[in-house]
Amino acid sequence: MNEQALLFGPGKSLAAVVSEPAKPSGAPALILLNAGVLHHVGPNRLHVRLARELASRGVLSLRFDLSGLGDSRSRADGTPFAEAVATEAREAMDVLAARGATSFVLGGLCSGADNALRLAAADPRVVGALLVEPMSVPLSGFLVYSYRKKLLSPASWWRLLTGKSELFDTLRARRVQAPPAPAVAEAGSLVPSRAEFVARVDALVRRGVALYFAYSSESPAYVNYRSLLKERLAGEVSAGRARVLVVTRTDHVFTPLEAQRTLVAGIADWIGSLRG
Amino acid sequence: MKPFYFGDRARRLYGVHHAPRGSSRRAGVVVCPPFGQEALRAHRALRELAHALAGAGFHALRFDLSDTGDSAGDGSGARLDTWREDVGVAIDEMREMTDSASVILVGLRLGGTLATLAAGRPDVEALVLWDPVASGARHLAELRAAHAAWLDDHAPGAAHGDGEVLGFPLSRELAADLAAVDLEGAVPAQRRVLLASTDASGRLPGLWPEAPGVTRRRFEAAPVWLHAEGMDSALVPGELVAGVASWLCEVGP
Repeated sequence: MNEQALLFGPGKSLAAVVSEPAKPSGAPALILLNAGVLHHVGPNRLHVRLARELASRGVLSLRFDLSGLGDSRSRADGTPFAEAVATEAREAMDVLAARGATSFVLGGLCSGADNALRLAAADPRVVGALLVEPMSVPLSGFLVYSYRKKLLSPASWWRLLTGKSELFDTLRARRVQAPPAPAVAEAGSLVPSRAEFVARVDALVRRGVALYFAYSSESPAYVNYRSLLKERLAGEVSAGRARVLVVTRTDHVFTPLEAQRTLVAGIADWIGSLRG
Repeated sequence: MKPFYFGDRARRLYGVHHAPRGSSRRAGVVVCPPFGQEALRAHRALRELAHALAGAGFHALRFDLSDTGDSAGDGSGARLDTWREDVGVAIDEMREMTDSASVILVGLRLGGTLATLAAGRPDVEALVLWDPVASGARHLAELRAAHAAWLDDHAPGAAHGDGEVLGFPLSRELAADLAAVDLEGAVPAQRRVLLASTDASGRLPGLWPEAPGVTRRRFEAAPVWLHAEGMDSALVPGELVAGVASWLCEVGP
């Protein structure tokens, strides 16, 4: 395995690390997008662990920082963020295309998954979407679900009784929140409405893009999956065109090392099974 | 900002070089990061600090310690002595890059500890220690308590294993290394040392009360390395960044 740090894009302003396998396996290459504002190593260094595992299995990958994040300079041209993400993801694929990659998996965690889902249909080179904890406008019941377990935990009760619980913050935040988002938000928005979320997944299914969903069992994102996609994707899952991994006793960013190992192995098995 | 790898082929380190804007000063600045979650959450703050230093005419080098970030190693082999050596490798790299006889070290939290431990060489001219970890044993206890609280919330009943802390491997060897750290006895020989504190109590750092070259300053800033909303936003302590840059301009070569 060889890793190389580089700058790419027209202004050479985007920072990336390419992990190159000693012997390519023929699987598509992976482009990893930022999770929130965390830089390209990913939450808990997940992107690095995944890239190195993939390289050991013959898969090329690139992790990078969108403009203004991590080690990448901000854009000076005033391009709106959503458009910049699309352009920069395409430029990232071009970097690996110059190294021989012909097909790609676009992926990430949280907002990285949202961006992958939004962009995967736009480029014919994308044959897979890696969606770890993708978000959409939450279902109304998600708060109850999300805190059900916490309310049963003695430690959480103590925090609740002493006013330190994050539940208070959530409730305070809800009090001042804007009215609920409309069922269909603006086209191309970064956090999709439920209808947009389903429509984007449907579009990828129609195009034959392979899908990998990974969730923490306690996450609101998984509540949305079960409510919005589980039945809809049952055929795709049984035909092997979509895979779903649900990890218990973890959180949104897969904090325990065991959860990280499970996630990395699951993703690597899946990408290894795809052909470019 | 230019990312690159440097150091031994067997232990390559990821670095980002911030070239000076305008006229260049003689010494470059090596920025030493904290460990684990703290390094992730403080990434933006250290980037902005390096950017401000480059604006003040310094070459600045941020880097990932081995077994962390984009540097070589899976985390299981991390040791404090190796990290101290990594700081030395970064110093050599900076000196080569700037063709300079000396460097300045800046370190946040455990990075401040490592900068202090690596500052025994004569080519380190000045030190900036931002809320350094003075007691490794206390740091270890705090990390373990935070990890135990996470387990109580997300995996009640799970064994509080020693092998990891909040998403990162923590071997027994590294834990023992940390437990043995006590900066009280590691008074730096440098005549220019800035102890930068963001302690909410308003206290100035009490480390090395007798050392003549130590300047103590308190800055109004949140502890960026503990920032709970790490995925959604990033804190940059503007007053501290500006204060460190201006102190280095005053004393820096």
